[in-house]
Amino acid sequence: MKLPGDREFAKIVRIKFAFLITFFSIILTLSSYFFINQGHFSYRVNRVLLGLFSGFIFAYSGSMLQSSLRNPLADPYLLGIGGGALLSIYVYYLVAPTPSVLHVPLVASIGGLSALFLTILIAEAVGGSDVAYVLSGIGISSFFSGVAITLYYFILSRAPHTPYIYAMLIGSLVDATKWKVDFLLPLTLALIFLYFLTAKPLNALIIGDEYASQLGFNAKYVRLITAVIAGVSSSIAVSAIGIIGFIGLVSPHIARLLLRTSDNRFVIPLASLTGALVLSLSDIAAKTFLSWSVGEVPAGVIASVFGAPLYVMLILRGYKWR
Amino acid sequence: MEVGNFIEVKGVRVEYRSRGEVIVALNNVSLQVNKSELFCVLGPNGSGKTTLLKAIAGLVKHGGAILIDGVNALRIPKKTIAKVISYSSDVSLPEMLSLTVEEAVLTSRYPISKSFLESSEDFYRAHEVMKMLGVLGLQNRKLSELSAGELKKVLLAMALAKDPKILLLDEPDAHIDIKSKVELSKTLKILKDKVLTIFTTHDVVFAANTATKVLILNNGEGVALGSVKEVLTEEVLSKVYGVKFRVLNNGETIVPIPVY
Repeated sequence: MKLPGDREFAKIVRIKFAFLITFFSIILTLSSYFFINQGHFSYRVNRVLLGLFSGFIFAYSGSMLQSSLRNPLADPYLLGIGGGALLSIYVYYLVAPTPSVLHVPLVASIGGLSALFLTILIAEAVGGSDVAYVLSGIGISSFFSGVAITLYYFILSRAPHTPYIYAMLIGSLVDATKWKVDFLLPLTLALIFLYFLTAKPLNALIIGDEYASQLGFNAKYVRLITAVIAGVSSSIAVSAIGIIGFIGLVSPHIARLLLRTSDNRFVIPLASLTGALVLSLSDIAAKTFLSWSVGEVPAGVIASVFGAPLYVMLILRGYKWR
Repeated sequence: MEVGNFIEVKGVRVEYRSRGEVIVALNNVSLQVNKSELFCVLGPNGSGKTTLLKAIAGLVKHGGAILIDGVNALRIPKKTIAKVISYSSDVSLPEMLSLTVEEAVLTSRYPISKSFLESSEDFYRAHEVMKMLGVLGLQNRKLSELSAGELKKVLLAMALAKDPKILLLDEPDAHIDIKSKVELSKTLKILKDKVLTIFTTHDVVFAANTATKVLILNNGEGVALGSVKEVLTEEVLSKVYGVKFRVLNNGETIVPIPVY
């Protein structure tokens, strides 16, 4: 069947998408390969996988939250999920008589989801605008992180040898243990599966709740499900590597800019891959750039240093268009 | 699947709860629309026009009964409803997440396309509809960049691309210029035999020259129901809108006008 129309936009998007996915995958594979080949084989493999999976998950959650809440500034970190997850993990370490790493992702999910819904509740109470979400998220995030940092000193005084607990305050891939990879691999696979179920409903949701409803999607249900998916998965990623800011926010926008579309069937995969790439490169940068003077810095620091200016650019762009 | 040949609305009642108070948006409204009729709902602001369309689309809870081809709409599977009924109203889009016109029109095909990505038939229909409504030139623009009038046309394309049997249009003629209004009227008349259409409007002239049947709502209740000639009279319009009306007819166009 011949298609009418001179330039089929949607077709160009598909070609671009295929090209970018391939290109990013090649860069990822190459950088991972060189990184792994520097010694301590199994640790390095775990570290690379940890970076890939967590970056993937943060960016995936970010894209999903942005469409679900119809808010271009949504991000797991900015909406308080990171702070909530971290606080619940620290509470668990303090309260549980025999803490087990296997419980940590579950505990983190409960904390992260509570924080997310608290943020949504407050934001909706003051009108539900983009800015209301960010302000409410910053409030929740600061409060939870603040309490978490206080608890951190209690944990230190009680169990000074709790490994790498400090690294969670700002995300780092230093503590790359196998159990974390074992958690994140099935999660990533589950997210890929869920993408096929949620991408189209999310597209309809971007246009509007009533529009989505008349297409047969229950708007409230879709919003709840996607918020829970994003909340749980990013909480689990936080439980593995700690709080990483801005990757979840910036990656979807990079994908949208490159593809020139907001169609979630293309944005979610490319954004996730971008997230994996950005976090991996941040980790390589964290290990190399400053190693000659101060040693290794957490990858989260690098991600923030580059992510925050991009975030400011996004805000400026958003307001100019209004 | 031959659903959507006629709609019966029997004693429909819709209530909203707002701060403990019950607000009756629709009270005992009844009507019947057959295929190849162009049904118009008129009435002042807050008379319940939009609520009536939403009730038929299954978007609000209602008392009474809405029957599609004699079957209670609540008993028809949601998936079938989504294929058969298009409900189109205004949307507001977040700028940085906005879809393009082409993509938005393609979303309309979601209920009927089985695959994850669009088939060439989906593309074909979407382009055909965009061409018919004169918005093919806008296909690569973002929805959030369109003017209110352009958006109205695109919304109609989004309603039509899934080939619905029942088309519910909330003020399709708002914000569009006079030429576009006349063209819209013509388009609706052409579509009339394929799609059962119910639309609301504030423009009595547009209603008088487009609709085959008119219902006038006031304070959530049906005030008058019948053909254009029966309903759009000086007497009824003056009573409903509280302004004196004259109805001019030069044989070509019926023009109900308020007296200033």
